[in-house]
Formats: sequence, structure tokens, C-alpha cells
Amino acid sequence: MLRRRIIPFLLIDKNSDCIKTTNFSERKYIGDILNNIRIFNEKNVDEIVVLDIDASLNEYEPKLDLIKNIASICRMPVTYGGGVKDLKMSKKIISSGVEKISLNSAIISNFDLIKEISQEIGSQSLSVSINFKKIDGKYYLVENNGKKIQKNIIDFILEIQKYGAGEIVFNSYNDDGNMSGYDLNFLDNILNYVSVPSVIVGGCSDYEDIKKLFFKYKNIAAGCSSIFIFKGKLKAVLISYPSERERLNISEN
Amino acid sequence: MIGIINYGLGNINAFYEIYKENGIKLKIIDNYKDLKNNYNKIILPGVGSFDKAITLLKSKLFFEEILNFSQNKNNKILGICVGMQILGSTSDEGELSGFSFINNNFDKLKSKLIPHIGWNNVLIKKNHYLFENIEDNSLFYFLHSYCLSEFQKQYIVAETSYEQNFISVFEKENITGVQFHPEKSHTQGQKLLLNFYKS
Repeated sequence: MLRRRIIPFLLIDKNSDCIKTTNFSERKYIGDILNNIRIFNEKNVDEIVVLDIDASLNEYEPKLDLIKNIASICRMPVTYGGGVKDLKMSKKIISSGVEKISLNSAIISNFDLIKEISQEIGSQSLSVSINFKKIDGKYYLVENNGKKIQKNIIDFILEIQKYGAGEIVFNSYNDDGNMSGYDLNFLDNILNYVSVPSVIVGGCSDYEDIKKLFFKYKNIAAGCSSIFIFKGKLKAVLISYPSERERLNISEN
Repeated sequence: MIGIINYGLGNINAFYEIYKENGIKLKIIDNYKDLKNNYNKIILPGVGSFDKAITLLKSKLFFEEILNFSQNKNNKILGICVGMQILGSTSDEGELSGFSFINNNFDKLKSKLIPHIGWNNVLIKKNHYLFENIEDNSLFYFLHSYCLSEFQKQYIVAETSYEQNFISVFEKENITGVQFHPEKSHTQGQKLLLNFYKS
């Protein structure tokens, strides 16, 4: 049986430092990226997502040497995102040794790019990340700074699937870093339209949140960052991940 | 000597590091001519699409050389993910022909959610050196949309279920294919790669 995926999300900035954001801003430094990945590696995590959140903003190209280093120390699959704007770069990143690349909804202005990339590297290696924000009870696609994008989320989901996205990551602006629980109401609205594997990230505060998510929806994976990075009210940096026994409890219905 | 074909697809470094940690030198084969040296085992990795893999192997002149290599039945080939699929003759994914070491088509998965992404159980169907010291039903990492859905029983090494059963490992003579990614499957994946080296 396919195991429910629990996926740490790690962010890096322009200095290649590992950071954690709240509401896509307010950065907190959480250590050396390679070091953090080594620790996750030892904990046998399902897979890992690494996003360079400055690349598109500051218009630099993905750091291929860093990506190669990450890929070669990982004994689990890696998804890389940040600054991927064309087919050529997608191919370079896959050749660096990661399994999936992530494209962000904020930079997708033409769906042909999705088609091009998926035909070349295969849908299974193309993940599309959707930033969503709740404003007055309604959900909107947003840019990385939280600004609305004039596209309907459901139409967007249907389009990217049609053009070859192999996975969708739903990234909650409101819940990012707030440990306020997953936005299950959002999933109620959209999951009927999703026909590829998907992940929700933003808001997870403890294993109970993952358990609730898994219980309610049979297919979606759990993305987490704060709970695997911080410990205690003061948010001291401490890397953690559920043990085999804890996982059994999480997946128990 | 063991080598890995570097044709532009797949995580060469992860394989290299795994073998290195275990004191084994995995040669990275960048040029088809190098395959004429004394290799007796090669790994054909792959992350990508069927036609893309074949096109790259042909443009780098690896294709013919790998066919030659396979003629010697003491030589072993291990294909991984799309590297397994191109061992077959065709795929629903592409229009080109594969190596045809096995005369099979790779079919699109019939499951509701495609691709098949994540950790799934590998059910061992017969004793095999690749699974020495690996428990039956262990989890390995899968990332694919096409699969080998049928094969003669004697060639099936392991199966996996994702709403449908498919063959996750096969071996026919000196040709072996695994659908999952051992290089990304933690300890059990490393064991499998070492078992291939020791075989």
C-alpha cells in the first residue's frame, strides 16, 4: 500500500542560508542547509522539498552547485524550486540529481512552459506549487508577497493538470509559519478537481493535524516545516520527524 | 568493474556516493567508447521520459554499445525507473523503440491518481540476489506513470500494488529492471545496490 507522505519543506535565501518564514515574510535563520538535510536524512524522511525563495525575486539563476550537493547527500527524493523559468534550466536542475522540480503559480504566465517541461522530463518530475490566500472568506491565488493574481484557482488547477503537472502543492499564505492547523476548508473546496498527487503545506502545528488531514482525505500528503524545525514556545531550532511508531499512530484511522 | 551510464538523465551522484561510502568505486561512464573497457556490470539510471532517454542514448552513441555489452551473458545490466522501461520494446509514453531486451510494452498506470509518487511495498515473488538481507514487503520510493503490467512468471522478481498490480522488478537472463529508485530509498535501497555489485 502506498504510504501517506509526510514531507519537510526547507527554504533557502540568497545567501544559501536555511530560513523559515511567517506569512511568506518575517524570516528566521535556522542553520546550514546541508547540515539540516543531513539530519533529515538520518531520520529517514519520505522526501524533502527545498525552495530558494529569493531566486525569482532577485532574478538570479538556481544555484546548481548547491543543488548538486543537496542531491548527492540525500538518500531520499528531493524537489527543488526557485528561479526555474524555462525548459533549459529545468533540464539542468534534473541533471543535477533532483527527482522533481517545482514551478510556482506566481511565475506561470503561460501553460506551454508546463507542457514543454513535462514532455521533456516527464510529468512525474514536475510539481506545481499554488500559493493561496483567504481574503474575506474567499480563496485567491497570490504572488509571493501575498498580492492577488487574477486567476481562478479551480480553473488554474484544471489547466496545469491538462498541460502535464504531475503533482500539486497547495501553499497557504495565511497559515505559513503560524502553526494554526491545515486549512481543511480550502481542501473541501478544491480536492474534487485534483487528479494528480497533491500536498498541502502551511499551518501544521502537531502530529494531530497530520492525523486529521490523513483521516479526512485519502490521498493528500502532509507538508510541514515549523513542527520539524522548532521546539517549544520560544521556537528553538531543533530538527525532528515522526518515528516509525509515531507514524503508525498518525496513519491510524 | 561496475559503471553507471552518464547519458544526461538520472541521479549519477547519489549512486556514486552510496558505493563510495561502502568502499566501492563506481565508474561514471561518460563516453560510449569507455564501455569497451572491462566492465561486467552497468547501471542504466533514469529520471525523465521514454523517448527522451532513447534519444539521448542514441545521440551519445551509447545505444549500440549497450546492445553489444549485453551480448556477453556474463555482463549484467540494471535499469532503474525509466532506465528499466527502455529495456522493453515500447511504451505508451513514447513513439520510439527501446532496447527490446524484453519484448514488452510499458503501459500507462490505470490508477486514479497518476503519477504513482511515494513509498510503496515491494512484494518479493522469488528468491533473488537483489533482495538478499532485505525484508519482504519493504518500502521503496516510486515516481512513475508507466509500468510493466504483465510478464511471464519466471521473469518476475517482485510486484507492487497501486490500485493495480504491476511488476516492480524483473530479471531475464543478464537484464534486470527495477521500477523504483533504490538510490533514493534509504537503507533498503542501498542494500539492493550493494547486492547488485556483489552478484
